[in-house]
Amino acid sequence: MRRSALPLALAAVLLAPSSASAYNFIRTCGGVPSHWTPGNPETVWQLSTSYPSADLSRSQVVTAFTNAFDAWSGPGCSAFNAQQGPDIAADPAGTSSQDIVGFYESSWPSSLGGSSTLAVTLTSTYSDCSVADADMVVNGVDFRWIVGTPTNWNQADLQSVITHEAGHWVGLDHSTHAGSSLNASYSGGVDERTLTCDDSEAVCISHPSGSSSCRNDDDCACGVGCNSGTCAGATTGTGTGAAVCSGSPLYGAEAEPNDWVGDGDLNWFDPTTGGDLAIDGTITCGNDGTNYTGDVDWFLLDFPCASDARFHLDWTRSADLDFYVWNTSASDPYVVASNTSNSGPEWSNAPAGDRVYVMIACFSGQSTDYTFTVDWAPFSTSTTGDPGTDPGTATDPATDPATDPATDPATEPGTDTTPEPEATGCGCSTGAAPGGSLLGLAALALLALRRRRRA
Amino acid sequence: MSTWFPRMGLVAVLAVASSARATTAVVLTETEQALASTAVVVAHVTEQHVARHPQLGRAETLTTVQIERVLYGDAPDQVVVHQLGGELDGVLLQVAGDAHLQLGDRDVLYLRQVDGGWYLTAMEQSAFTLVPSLDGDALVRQLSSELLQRSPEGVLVPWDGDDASAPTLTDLSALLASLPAKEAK
Repeated sequence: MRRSALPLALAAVLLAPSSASAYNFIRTCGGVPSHWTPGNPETVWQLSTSYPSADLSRSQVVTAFTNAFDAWSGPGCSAFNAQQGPDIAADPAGTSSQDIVGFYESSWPSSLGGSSTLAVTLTSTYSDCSVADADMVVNGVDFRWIVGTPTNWNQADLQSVITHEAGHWVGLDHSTHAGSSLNASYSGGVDERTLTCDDSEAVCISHPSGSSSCRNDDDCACGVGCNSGTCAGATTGTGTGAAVCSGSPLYGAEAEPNDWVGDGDLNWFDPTTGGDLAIDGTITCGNDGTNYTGDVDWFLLDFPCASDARFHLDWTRSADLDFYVWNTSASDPYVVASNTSNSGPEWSNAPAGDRVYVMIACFSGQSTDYTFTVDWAPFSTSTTGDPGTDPGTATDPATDPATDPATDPATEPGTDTTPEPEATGCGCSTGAAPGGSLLGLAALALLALRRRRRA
Repeated sequence: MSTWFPRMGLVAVLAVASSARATTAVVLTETEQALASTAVVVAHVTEQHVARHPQLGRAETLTTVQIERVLYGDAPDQVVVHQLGGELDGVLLQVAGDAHLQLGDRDVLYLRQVDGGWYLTAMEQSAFTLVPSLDGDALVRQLSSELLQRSPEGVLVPWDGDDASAPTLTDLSALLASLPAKEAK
């Protein structure tokens, strides 16, 4: 039975990725994302008998691929449905339009990256962004494929890698949401066999079912919980997104160590504080009417998990402190907290995960000690002193695609809606990324250098 | 350290995950890539067209690059880089994790010659765009693959994104000059 494409178009319009969302589609056409033509199933994949695995039995391979594709059908909001078709004697990388998967065991093509590549998905789309064909090739020349947790660097769990690759088969691009199956998240284990909220959000936009049923939070859009089997309301802590925010950091450093005290400055995921991150520092204040001219502290943070978080800054003396948070894919900060209050705290709720850069600066007032906290949901950090704002929605500049957090004072969690000069003057918050995210980040790097010299 | 901060910015650029396609691959260091390559070059992208791959029948993008400087190994003044993918007959083939060479760009490319054809050694890992910066020509690339690295424990783990041992062309030139010369074939 063929379904109407109307829900897809509507979903594409209504559920356009917010600035906080990290997924991408391999292609979009007039706002419609890459997608398989609605059907039941959308795609029939075929195992190549000419290119079988040398490491795994046919049944092991079929199970891994079936489970990997089923993962993308799992969320109730996803209409994506892949089924296995009859085996076929053909080259997956050859022209076929028959959606073939197979293993290269004798030689790996030069055009597919040599011995460093584990697996590649080839996706062809028509000009309306419907998928014409997808094929997947697995490198059996340079890697040993297993079922389970690898014990050697040249081993990999087939289902984990194929779950990632199946996302490209679905029509999705790389995700920057840490922990996403489409992020650089393969941990050497089998955790990546399941989707995260970001994966679910993406497949449900490109292949909407109209249902909001769920099994856990991971079946719902990020920030939405699975309550009583339906995606609605606050997150419940079920699924992978909420349970992994503990343990050692991947990396952390103060980028401008002009007031570095020592390792005690970085209270990494201290379990006694609920798995939150706290940074203690001191800062001096100043401005030239437009730019910060006092101390500017930068921090580079790599999180081992992804979840909703509260970014929270508080300080001890009378001063006007601000903070900004960038992810790695945009030149504009996705969290801006720059009200004009001379007392803390300032805070904002937003997704946190993967790598972020935090800038803390003081516009005016007395030199002061401060504490910057990343508090994982459920939040324990006090918001006292920041009155009258719903911490879960209105304060999150990253979740409103229509709002430029860099220039709209309404995104500030405080009640003051008057734009502060530094919000437009620090250079971090004005204008669009020059030429896209890559050049935007290059600009950010240079900008940061200028800021450093000012400071 | 006075030079650390701007380099952090460059690392950020190196680690950016943006709109390129993705695949699953192990990260290669500059040294590993160079040793796996026929040549490492500074080149200008001068021409690009899509043709049908003679064996596979799929779209193949052929990019002509003019070599400005050979940093390592040996290469002619001009080479044609073969990449699967491109638009042909109204169908766009996208290959996960491959580089997007852009007309007019000045790039550092790690190239491998196989059976007379030239290829990027490790797809998107092998193409850096040169961007002027305060530290000189910065090497920037878009990495979107599921990138892994070999851990001391002996398994593949997520790449930590910290491989910017040569963030500028000057740094890379010095690093490559320290490698053993490639044997002539």
